[in-house]
Amino acid sequence: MKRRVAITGVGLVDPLGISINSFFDRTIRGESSIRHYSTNDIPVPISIPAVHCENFNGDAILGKPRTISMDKFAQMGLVAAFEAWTNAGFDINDKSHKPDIGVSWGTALGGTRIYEQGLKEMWLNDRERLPPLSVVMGMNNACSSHIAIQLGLGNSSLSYSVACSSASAAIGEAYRRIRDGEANAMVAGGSDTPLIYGVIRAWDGMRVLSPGDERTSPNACRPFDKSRSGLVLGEGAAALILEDWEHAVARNAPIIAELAGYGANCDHTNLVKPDSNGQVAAISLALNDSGVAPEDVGYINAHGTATVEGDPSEIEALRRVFGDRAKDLAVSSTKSTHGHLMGASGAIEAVISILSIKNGVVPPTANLRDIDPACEGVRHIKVGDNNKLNLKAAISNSFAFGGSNAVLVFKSAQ
Amino acid sequence: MSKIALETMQELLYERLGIDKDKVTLDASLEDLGIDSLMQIELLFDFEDKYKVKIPDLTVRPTTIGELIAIVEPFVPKS
Repeated sequence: MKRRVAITGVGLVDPLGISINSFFDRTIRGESSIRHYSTNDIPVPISIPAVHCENFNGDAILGKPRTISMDKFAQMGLVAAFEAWTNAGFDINDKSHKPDIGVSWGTALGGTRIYEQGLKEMWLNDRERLPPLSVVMGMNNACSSHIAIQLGLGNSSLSYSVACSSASAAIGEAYRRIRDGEANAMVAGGSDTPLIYGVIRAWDGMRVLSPGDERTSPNACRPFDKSRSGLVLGEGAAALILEDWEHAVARNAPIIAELAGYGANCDHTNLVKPDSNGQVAAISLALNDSGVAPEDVGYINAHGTATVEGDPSEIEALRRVFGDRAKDLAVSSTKSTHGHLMGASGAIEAVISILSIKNGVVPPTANLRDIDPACEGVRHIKVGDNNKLNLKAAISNSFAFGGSNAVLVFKSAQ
Repeated sequence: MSKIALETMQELLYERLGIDKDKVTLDASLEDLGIDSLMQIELLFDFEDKYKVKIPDLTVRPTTIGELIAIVEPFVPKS
């Protein structure tokens, strides 16, 4: 028999360094955390719109020596995991062995920053070899390892690297472990820090980064709008505590919502061009897995990166899955405010979806004014629209380069 | 025992791990200070970097600050 999966805690790194409640309130108002990001890097300084967690100080939050072997993506992930763990009623100081609880973490870039720093040291400063900690700081499973070590989680420590679907895949696979009786609880989420010179230059070369300066950067990400001009990179982390429903009830844990379904598949058509056929199949898989009827889905947190090709494909997929109901289906892309967190995007969008269900209010797509005709056919939530909704269920979509799709279905805990 | 090597060790451990310098004594246990095998290798690298030398791979595992300093001492300037 399949077990129900409760969500008993959420946590994230707020780009403005305030709190999860402040982050959600700003998201609901459509307030952008995107700012102009510039550096003095050589050979060419960086100047792009981005979400940069400039106030994040891992050493101050987590303390040395804990952080000495942690790259920024692991530090951010551990901070988010600690917050979720605490909110779920667990103790971050309890390091006792917990064989029934594990970690499932998503990251697209992992410790790329460490290797880039190492290359700079070797090329620019004539270093012959690199600090040995580079190995454990750069490995993609570093964050899940640190979470497991810090919290005594002995069930499993798994990492998923599926580009922009990484965190959604990590959350979905964690859900399956609990549902199938392999674990009683899992820390699931993702973290990524793409504001790395080589990473930015590569995305720039792909010509999908939206431009912007000091004045225009907050409005640089405009999903579904005729004027959209590409995605905005963001750094951050978000975590969920997933738990067997009966396990959560037995310890009087706060149940925020239910993770009811997960669908994962692959377009297998193109590395970068999205395919609505695959997206339709992924959403359908998740809905079938959840047992939620399409008419009970009240909100879609779209992948919505604001690229020319990606947005219409996703809306087409929603029109095909939801048919005549699509025009009444509330849809928004919160990447318009928090940017594209790469492998962590599915986690932060899961947190937003869950809090939307809990609070009966959905976020808008910021900067959406003139809907692209190719993106019509759903109820786009814009800033200023009535966004109070009594949600029975919500869906979060993640559609990655490589054609890997991961879709999560959340239900109200009521 | 080289005073420079001890002082360098104290500075590195304070900068890297926030360990008070007065706790870094020759007979202090590496385990008690939270210095595991990975951190020992990292410290050797720091010494190599600071003094532009190459320290051979460890053949024995030090257990105290004094034993760790004995490994790096031949590569540290006398004054």
